[in-house]
Amino acid sequence: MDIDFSKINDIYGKDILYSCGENFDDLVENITILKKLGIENIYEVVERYPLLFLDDSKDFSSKINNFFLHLGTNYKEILENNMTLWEELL
Amino acid sequence: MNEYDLVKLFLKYHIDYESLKEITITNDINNLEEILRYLINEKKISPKNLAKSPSIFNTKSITIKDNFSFLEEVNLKKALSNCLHVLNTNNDKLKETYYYVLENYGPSYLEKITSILSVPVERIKLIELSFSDTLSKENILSAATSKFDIFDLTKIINTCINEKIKILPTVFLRNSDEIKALSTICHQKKVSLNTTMFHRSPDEVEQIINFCQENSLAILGAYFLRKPDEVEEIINITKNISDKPLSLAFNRTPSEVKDIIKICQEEQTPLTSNMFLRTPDEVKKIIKLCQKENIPLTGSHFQQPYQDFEDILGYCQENNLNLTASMLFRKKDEISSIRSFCNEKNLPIYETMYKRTPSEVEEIFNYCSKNNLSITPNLFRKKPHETTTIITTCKNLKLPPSSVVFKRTPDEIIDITSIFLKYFKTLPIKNAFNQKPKEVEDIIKLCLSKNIAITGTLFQKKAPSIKDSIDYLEKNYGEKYLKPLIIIKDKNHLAKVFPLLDSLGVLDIVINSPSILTLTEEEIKDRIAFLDRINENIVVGETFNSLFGLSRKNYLLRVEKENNKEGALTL
Repeated sequence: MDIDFSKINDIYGKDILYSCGENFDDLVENITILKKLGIENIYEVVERYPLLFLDDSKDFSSKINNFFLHLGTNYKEILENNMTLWEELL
Repeated sequence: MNEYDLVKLFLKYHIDYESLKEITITNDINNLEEILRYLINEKKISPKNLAKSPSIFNTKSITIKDNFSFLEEVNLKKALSNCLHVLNTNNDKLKETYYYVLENYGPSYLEKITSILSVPVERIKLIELSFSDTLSKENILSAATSKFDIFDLTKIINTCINEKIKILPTVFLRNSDEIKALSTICHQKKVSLNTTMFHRSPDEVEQIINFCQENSLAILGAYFLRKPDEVEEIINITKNISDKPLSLAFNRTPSEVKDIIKICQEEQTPLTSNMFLRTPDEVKKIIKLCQKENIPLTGSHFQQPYQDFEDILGYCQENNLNLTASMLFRKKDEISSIRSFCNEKNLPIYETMYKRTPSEVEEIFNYCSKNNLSITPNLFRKKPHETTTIITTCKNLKLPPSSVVFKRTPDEIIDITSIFLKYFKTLPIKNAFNQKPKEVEDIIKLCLSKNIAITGTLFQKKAPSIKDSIDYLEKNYGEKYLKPLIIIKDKNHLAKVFPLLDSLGVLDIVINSPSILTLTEEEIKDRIAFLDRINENIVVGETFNSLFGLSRKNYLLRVEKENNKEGALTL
C-alpha cells in the first residue's frame, strides 16, 4: 500500500490519522472495493478524502454503487478529471 | 527429602530454591524430577512461572501430565501460564469443571479465568444459586476462585452494595472489613476507589495515597500493583526519563525498571512504556532480534514474551506475511488458527480478529451466522458476550444495525442515544458512535453554539481539534467559513492555505468549493503557478478552476501537454 499518511496528517490532523489506524481493516477493504471497480488513483483519493474510507465496507459499497450509477459508465474518467466529486459522498 | 538433593535438582532446572524455602516439599525426588523434566524440558514452561505455583511440586507426576495433556487438547495450554496450580486438581474433577463452564459460560471465560478449573463444580453451582441475581457471570467465576466461603462472600457483596462500590473481580481479593476500610480511606482522602487497590491491604493503600498527595502526584491505578516502598522507588527512578508517569513500569520491580532503562541506554534505543511488560532479559533479546531482522522497533513488539514474538516473526516470514501490531496480541498458534478458520469459512482476515482468541472469533462468527448478521471488522473489537449485549441494546433502543456501534460499550450506546434524543429528539447518526458520549456531547454543544450543521464526518475528530480550527477561522476570517468540510481540516493546514487564498482574493470561493483544501499547500501553489503560466484564472464562475480537481496523474499529463505545446512553438 502506497498511501502517503503524512499528507493525511498534514491536511486533517492527528485525530483522523489515528482513525485510519483504528479502522485499518475497513480502509483496506474499501480500497479493495474501489480497485475492483477499476479506480486507478485510489491512494490519492484516500489521501484527499480519508473520511470516506472509514465507513464499514457494506455502507461504503452501497454508497459507491449509487454514486457510480449516478455518474454513468464513464465514472472513472469523470472522477480523474474532477476529484472534487468525491466530496459529494461526505 | 535431603535438602542438598533438592537444591541440586532445582539448580539443574534453573529454579531459585531460595524462593521456595518456605514450602515443605513432601514429594518423592524421582516424582519431583519427572514433574520438572516434563513441564520445563518437554512442555517448555518457564522455570520462573513454575516457581510461582510451588504447590505442584507436591503432586503426582501422573496427575500433572494427565491434566496438561487435557488442557493442551482443549487449547488452554497458553492460558495456563499464570495459573499452573490448576494442574494439581484431580483429573476427573478438572474435566467436570471444564465442561460445566464451557457449556454454561462459554470458552472465553475459560481462557480469562482459567483458575476456575481448580474449583469443584459444586462450589460454582452453590455460588450461582446464592448470587446469580447480583453477580455477573465473570464475577460468579471470580468469586468461586476466591478463598472465601458463602458467608464471607455475602458479606463482601453487601459491603460493596452499601459502600456503592462496583462489584468487579478484584473485590474478591479482600474480605468485607478490608473493603470497608478501603472505602473509608478513599472517602477521607477524597480519592476515587480504584479496582487495583484491592491488590493491596488498606494500610498499604493509605501509604501510597499519602505519598502521592504529599508529592502532588496523580494517583494511578497501577501504583497499587506494588508495595508502597517500591512505588516510591519506581517513581524516583522514572521521573527523569519521562514527563508522564509510566504506568506499566509498576508491572516490574524497581531493580528490573533500572535494568530496562540501562539496556535502552546501552542499545541506544528509545524507551517505550510497553518494554515494562517484559523482563529486562526479554527486552534485550527483543531489541537484538529486531536489529538482526532489520525491523523498526515499536512498543507493540514488547506485547508478547520473547519466545512468542520470535515464533510470530518466524511464522510471518514462512508465510510471507507482514508482521502487524495486531498480530502481537496473539500467539503464533492462535494466529494460525484464526487464519485457517477464515480460510475454511471463506472470510476475509481482519486485523481486529487478532484482538480475539480463535474460539472468540468462532463464537462471534457463529452468533452472527445464526442471527443473520454481516461479518464486519468492528464486530471483533469486543468479546463475544459484549457483542451479543450490544446487539440486544441496539434492538431495545431501536437503533438501526451498524458496525460502528461495536466501538462502544452498551452503556456508552445508551448514553449517546440519550444525548441525541436530548438535543435533537432523534436517534444518533451512525458516525456519532466513533466517539465516547462526553466527546459526542462536546462536539454537539460546540457546533450548536456556532450554528454549524452537524454532520457525521465531524465525529471522526475530537472536540478540541475541531475547536482549534473553529477558533482560528473565527478569529482571523469570520463565522462564514465555519462549515463542516472546512472545520474538519487541521488548524495548521488552514493556517497555511487560508492566507494564501486570501492574498489572491479568492478566499470566499472556499465556502462553496472547499475541495481545494484537500490539496497540500505545495500542491495548491504549484497548480496556481501553472495556471499563471497558461494564463488561466484561479476561479471560473463561482468555483475554483477545474485544474484543482484533476487527479495528480491527469494534472501531470496536462502540464506535459502544455510543455510539449510550448516546445513545438519554440521550434
